[in-house]
Amino acid sequence: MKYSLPATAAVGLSLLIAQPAFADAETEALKKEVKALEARIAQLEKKEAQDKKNQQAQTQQAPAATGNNTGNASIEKRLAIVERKQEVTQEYTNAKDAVTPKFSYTPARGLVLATPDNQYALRVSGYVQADDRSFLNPNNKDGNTDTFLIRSARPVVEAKLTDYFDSRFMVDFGKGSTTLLDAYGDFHPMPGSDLFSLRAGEFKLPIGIERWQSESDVLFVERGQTTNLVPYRDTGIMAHGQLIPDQLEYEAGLTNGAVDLATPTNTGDTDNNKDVMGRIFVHPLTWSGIEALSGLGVGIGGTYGKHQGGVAAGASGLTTGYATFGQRTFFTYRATSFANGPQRRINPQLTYYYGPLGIMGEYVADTQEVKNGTHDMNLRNNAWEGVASYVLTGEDASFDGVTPAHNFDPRSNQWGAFELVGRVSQLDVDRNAFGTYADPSVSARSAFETTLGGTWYFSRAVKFNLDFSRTTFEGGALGNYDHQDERAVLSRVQLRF
Amino acid sequence: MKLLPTLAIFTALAIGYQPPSAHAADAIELLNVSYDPTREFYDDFNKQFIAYWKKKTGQDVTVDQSHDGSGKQARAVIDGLKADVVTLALAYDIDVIASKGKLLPYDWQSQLPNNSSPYTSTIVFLVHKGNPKHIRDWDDLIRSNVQVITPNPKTSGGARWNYLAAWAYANKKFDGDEGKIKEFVGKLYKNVPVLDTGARGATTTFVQRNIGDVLIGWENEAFLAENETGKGKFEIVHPSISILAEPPVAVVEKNATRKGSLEVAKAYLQYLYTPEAQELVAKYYYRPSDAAVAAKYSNRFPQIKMATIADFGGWKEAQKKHFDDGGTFDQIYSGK
Repeated sequence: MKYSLPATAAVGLSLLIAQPAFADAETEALKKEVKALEARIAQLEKKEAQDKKNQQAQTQQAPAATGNNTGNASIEKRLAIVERKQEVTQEYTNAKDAVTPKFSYTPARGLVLATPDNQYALRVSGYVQADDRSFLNPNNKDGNTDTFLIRSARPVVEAKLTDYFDSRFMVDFGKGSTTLLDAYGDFHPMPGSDLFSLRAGEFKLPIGIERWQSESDVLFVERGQTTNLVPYRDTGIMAHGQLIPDQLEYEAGLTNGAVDLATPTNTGDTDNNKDVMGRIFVHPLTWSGIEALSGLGVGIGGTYGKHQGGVAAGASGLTTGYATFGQRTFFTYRATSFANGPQRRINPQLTYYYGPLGIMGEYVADTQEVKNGTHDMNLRNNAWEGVASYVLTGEDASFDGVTPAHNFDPRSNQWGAFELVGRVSQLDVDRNAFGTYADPSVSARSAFETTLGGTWYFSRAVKFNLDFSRTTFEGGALGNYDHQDERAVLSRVQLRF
Repeated sequence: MKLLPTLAIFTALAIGYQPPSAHAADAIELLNVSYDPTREFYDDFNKQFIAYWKKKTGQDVTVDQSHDGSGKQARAVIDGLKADVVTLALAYDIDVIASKGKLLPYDWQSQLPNNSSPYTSTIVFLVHKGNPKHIRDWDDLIRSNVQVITPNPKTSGGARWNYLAAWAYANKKFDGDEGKIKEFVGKLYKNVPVLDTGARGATTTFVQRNIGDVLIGWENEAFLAENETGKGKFEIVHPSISILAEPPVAVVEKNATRKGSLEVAKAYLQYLYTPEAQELVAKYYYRPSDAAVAAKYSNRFPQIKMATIADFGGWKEAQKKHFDDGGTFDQIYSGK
């Protein structure tokens, strides 16, 4: 198929503006004609019935009138013409549809322009998140600043290039920087089957169930402590698919090896080693037919790779720091520490959805060999979290967000959907890290977060989050004291297009 | 983890991957993209050719058919339909495949005899048995009590032949006065209650839906309706002037070369000119190009005065003057 997407886009837009096609006006005229003929037939039938009645009442047979029969035959012919015209009009419409690009917009899917045969399609969507961060520590905000900010501004462009290939491109202009987040292509060698696809480029890894959730669907303004220990994005190749449709999905790949929580820089790998990663996720009880059980999902994922940091590598190969809910860094390695060997992550995951109730949980064990001077040690950091949500207005909770049954429209007494959310999460840094590899006077050993919040879904496209969070620490202050609690109120308006 | 073993695994997967359709090396599959009315003819012809080729070469051939309006089929081939051969209603449609699709040479028409037309036809009238409206010639089609069925020349190749046949008659009647010719043809199209998209649709309207008093169409379609599909219900009227319709055939060389079917595709079209195939041509009421076979069936096909496309300056000129946007058809039909 030879379609020029820019030309197709021009045609699609002109069709949006263009007057109704000849077929629509013609169809309306035909419909009017049919209605008029139907009325005329009803009249004639009534008259015929009356005539028959009159004939039966009379003693003498009157000669049968031929005018009505001739009139009926003529009307039948006209009806046949009208019906055939409608069929032919539909043929013209079908022929036109077969060559006219398809153009549609919904908040859920964005703007979609597709060739008539759906072999090529371009989808433009995105979202903007405008946040407010307020900290409630009365005397000392401890480096936290009350601020408004554009947390994310992400246009997304996706293209389908026949049934075999598609691609995705997403950039983030939030927080005053420009970051390429997604730039990958997928190859589907078996169109129509989800069994196996191959992805190459930069993409999100399925390690960390809360991280795996789309930014626009996350329940809270910021993710929990487990996300500190998993990669953000990485570059490489990944096979993915569903071994059993809707029941068992898998991902397995080879990537450069991203450090914990790091924002991608796209400057290439700092060493010759690559990480392998994989995950399987199952819905083990969908076969049961019991609705209350079929929403359970469990999985396990992990990564393994050798990371080598240091002066020669130009980077430490370690995380730049673990962050609180309010996005303050509460732990970093010393500047002289660097990765000096394998990093392993293991990540069991759980989700459960049943009607308006949603539950999510995970655990991450992250072991990394770290060196500082002559000291070399495997350090193991752990994190866990549990999340619960409940949609007060009765809509279904889901991993992919809530769709209000009725969009916000006060004129119709409709207010959208409301969801209550709660989370507890904790991150523990290996005690052996402190002293040699991390400074205990500035880095906390542990952070425990509790967050309560709510989300108001005005529609699928617009939502408002409000979260109250308290994070307590062990260590992280001078004299081995505990860093003061962080008490934060974060809110967000998200607009999806 | 080392890169090379991993790459070896992925390479093995790629080599093992088989595309969905793989064919045996010595069997050939041809796709014949044709226009509407040739379905029955090519059903029979294909069986004959397959048997002939098997006997001659021992090679198995299957032939798939695609039928639709001629112009629509040409566009489909340009847009990627992998035709090995095209057997369309008019040379203009194959010219477009050559010029826009670059799938066959510009001089394609000279590569087979009779301007690559193994059979011809003409345009006639099909009327109800007994000819109740006494339709004898084109003048009768503009009477106010006559309803005419003919397809839309903007969408149907056959309809363009119909239009040009009417124009040819009016041209002779009015001695080339274009204003009067347009008026005549305009009156004819005012009598068309349903403008079908294609020739087959027009036949459906007239034969099955019993709409109209006369169907203008291909002679072969008219014979089929008279003798088979509508046996006993219709009769053919040959007008005093018609047009020589030369449906051409061509190998889509680029597709056939890519598919490795070039030799068989050429043989397929050449077989159309053999006496056996020409007998089949006559059986399905096309006028054979073979003189001997044509003579055998001369009683079936009356000799009538026929204009040719050359009288209109060739298809390129005819398309531009009559059927392009703003052409004579748009001028007379928009006034309906």
